[in-house]
Formats: sequence, structure tokens, C-alpha cells
Amino acid sequence: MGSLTAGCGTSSSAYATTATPVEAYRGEVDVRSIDAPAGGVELGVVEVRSVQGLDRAVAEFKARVAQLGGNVGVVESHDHTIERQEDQVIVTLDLLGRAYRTGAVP
Amino acid sequence: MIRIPSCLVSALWILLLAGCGTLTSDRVVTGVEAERVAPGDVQVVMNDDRVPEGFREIGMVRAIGYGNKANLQSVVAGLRHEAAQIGATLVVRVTISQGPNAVAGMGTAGRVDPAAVPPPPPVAGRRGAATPAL
Repeated sequence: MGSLTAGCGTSSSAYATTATPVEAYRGEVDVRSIDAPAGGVELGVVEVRSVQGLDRAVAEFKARVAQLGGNVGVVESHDHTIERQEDQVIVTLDLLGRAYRTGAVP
Repeated sequence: MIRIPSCLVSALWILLLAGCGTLTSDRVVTGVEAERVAPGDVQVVMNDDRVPEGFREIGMVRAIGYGNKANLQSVVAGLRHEAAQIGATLVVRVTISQGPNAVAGMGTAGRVDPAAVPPPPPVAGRRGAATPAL
């Protein structure tokens, strides 16, 4: 399963890596960037590209993790692309990470 | 014709140069914030997978310098500022990106929890380290 969205300044995609799809998680998603959660089941990968604020990019990341059924998202890498378009400098943030479910997976 | 004094031209030029750079920074809290610290107390570690034992993540911080602020010094200062606001004393896994007229940096801010640091292993051969007899 994969999906892609492109909104105003932020685009993202999510791909499930489990054999059977997991129902979307409806609670609050935790985000971290250091370690995978102990005992967590990996559900898929998430990527976000955003020219907006860091909070907007992380909110999109959380939404994608929840869509995969995860309650924890781990940002494994982050990078910026800086381009000049006409007389403007555009800075785009790329987040790449994984979705995990801790506790019982439905 | 209006004559503008040369000293005024110089002053305007200096003001123009000084104003040709901006630094923006932002952060997201992903853990538990701690008491604010001074930016000078924040250590920034460039991209390195080694995270110190007992590191407790507080959030993600980012800084982008444009114009004459498009340099490492300004960006690191921005990361320090943001980390200090959420009580972090360390920024790890920092990535720096350079482009036309801009430099961006981002990292994970946190602090080392002394209670979570395992005790160092005993050093072999130190028992009874008396001065050897000559």
C-alpha cells in the first residue's frame, strides 16, 4: 500500500511494509529521532517534503504514521534542499522515517 | 542637484550590508521540556551516529541562515538558541545543507540524564595499585 499527497508547500508519502494492512491509529502519535521503540512492530516507511515550518512537517509525518496504524514515528534522516527560483531562495526539508506500533497490534 | 555627504553614504552602505542577512529558526518538542538554559551551555555535535549514553531526546531544532547569515557560525548559533529554549544541553545528529545564498542546519536536541548512564566498567589491573617497590 502506498499513497502520496501534495498540499500547499508540503507533500508526503507512506508505504506499508506489513503483509496485511493495519487499521489507522486514531490516538496521539509520538515522534522521536533517536531510537526505535522497544518491542515496536514496524509497519511502514514515511517521507515528508515541506517548505513550511518544522511543526507543519512533523504534523504531516505524524498523520502519515497514524495512517499506517502506527503510534510511534521515528525520523531516521533529515536533510534540506536549497534552490534558487528566480529571485527567491527555496529551502525544502526532507524527513524520512518509519512507523511503529507499540502494544498490541489489532 | 542634491549633494549627499560621503559619510552619510558610508553609513547607509554599512546599514545595508548589516541588514542583508536573516536567520530563522524553529523547533518541535517531541519529549519533555526541561528548564531553559543559556545558549552558551548547549553543545552542538555534527552529524555522527554516536549518541551519548543516557541521552534523553527533547525535540528537533532547525536554523536557516540567509545572505550574510548563510554561514555555519550563524546556523550553529540558531540551533543553540532553539535548544536552550527547551532546556536541551546537547544537539546531536546535526545535518548541514548549503545552497545558493542559504545554509540550513537541523538536529536532535536533548540532554544526558545522569541516572540513565551505566556505571563505567571496572578497570583491570587497578586493584591494590600501590607504588611498586623498587
